[in-house]
Amino acid sequence: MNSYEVVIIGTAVMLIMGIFVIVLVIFQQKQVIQHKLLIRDKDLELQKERLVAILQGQELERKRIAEDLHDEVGAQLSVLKLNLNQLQPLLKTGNGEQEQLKETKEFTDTIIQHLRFISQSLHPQALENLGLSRALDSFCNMMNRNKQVQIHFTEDSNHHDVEPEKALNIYRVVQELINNILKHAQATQVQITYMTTPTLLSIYVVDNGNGQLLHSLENARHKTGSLGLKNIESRLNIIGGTIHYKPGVPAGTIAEIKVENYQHAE
Amino acid sequence: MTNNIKVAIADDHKIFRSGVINTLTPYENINVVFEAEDGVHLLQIMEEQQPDVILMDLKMPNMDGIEATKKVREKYAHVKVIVLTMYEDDNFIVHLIENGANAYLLKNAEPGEIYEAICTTYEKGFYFNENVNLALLKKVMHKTRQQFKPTFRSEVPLTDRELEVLRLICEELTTQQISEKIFLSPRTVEGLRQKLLEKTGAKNIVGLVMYAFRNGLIE
Repeated sequence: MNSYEVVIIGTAVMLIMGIFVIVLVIFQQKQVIQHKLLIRDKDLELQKERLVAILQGQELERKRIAEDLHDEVGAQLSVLKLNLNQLQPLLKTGNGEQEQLKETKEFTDTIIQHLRFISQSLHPQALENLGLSRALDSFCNMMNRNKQVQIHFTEDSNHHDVEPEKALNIYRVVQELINNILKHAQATQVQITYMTTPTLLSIYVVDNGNGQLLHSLENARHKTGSLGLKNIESRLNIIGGTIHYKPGVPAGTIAEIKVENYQHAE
Repeated sequence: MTNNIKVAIADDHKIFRSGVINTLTPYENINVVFEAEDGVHLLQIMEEQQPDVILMDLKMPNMDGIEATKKVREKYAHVKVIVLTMYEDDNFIVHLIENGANAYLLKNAEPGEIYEAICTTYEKGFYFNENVNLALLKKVMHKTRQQFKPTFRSEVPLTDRELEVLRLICEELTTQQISEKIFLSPRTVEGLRQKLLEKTGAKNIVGLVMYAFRNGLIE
């Protein structure tokens, strides 16, 4: 063996060892990255779970307050009205007593009406008893009593059931969307179209406003930290739904909500 | 005046039950025979004695008024049910009437109306006030409108892809633009377009757009 051969073999061995080391390092780094990704996935999962827990807690609390208001205070106010009615034959006449009683009764009715509105906004009773599409229709009826904007609701005749947890989230998304339209879009008319196939639920919310809905939402988010848009996104995220905004024709905004696999829990 | 009408009240709020009883006391032909705290309690008492008319609250523990109304209708066809509730909601009104309620009143109704409703349901079998009439009318009109305006899925089952293409056609996009927008080849878009014409029975794009309009797909 001459020195020439020794050098060649030596170099070869060194090279192989070098390559081996490099491969080892790369392999290890890959493992580190994979581990990090795993941790991040777990973090995201945890975050989602936390969000779901917060939202569920919030809904539970809203439901409790709504029911207390509606059932307890409502019953008491109704009794108040009945009692006022019994005063009627006992009142003296001549000094406007009857008129005053009438005004008081009307005022009681106004309070009851406010109570209904607050309670229904807090928690839609129709959702549990009659399902999502009826609850949305009731929501539109309620908003239309306020006259600020005219909301039309149409649905197809398929009547597929929606999983209750998802139904509540979808209801909240539409509610938030309408609230945002009222605040930002300067619309006079809103059309909500509700359609289902066995696997896909689609809701189109079309307004005839200034088409600035998304823009104003973004602005509000920067200026006041308003969470409207974020709420919509997180709720849809939880139930695996999506929302897309498009400019309407000739004006306004079209929001398209889609939820797949809506008949079963996640 | 009509003869004695036996009335029962099912409501989970004692204060409200007493309020109603006080209100009805002056009317001599009304005889409140019993009170129940919820639907289960009501049906229990009814095994022994049946009233002519029940004033039924909707929101009650154990068994709510919706369920109780159905049960009463099944078992005691002659007993009339007047819903007396806080819920002012067309969908509840329609649902309850469909399930056998004979009248639907709000809890803040005038005592005179409660009395009138009891007498009328007892004599004629139903009492529909303006709230009920409007809710039912809305329902009927909605149904006829749906007959004139068939929805996509019941009449012509379009796939989601086809719906998407139809909507883009209505937005005056060309085949090329559509294919860029939804990431399909122009050939596939053309195929979907053809399929749409076949399925809707339209002869050309104008017919297609008209179809979309009629079915409320675009504004």
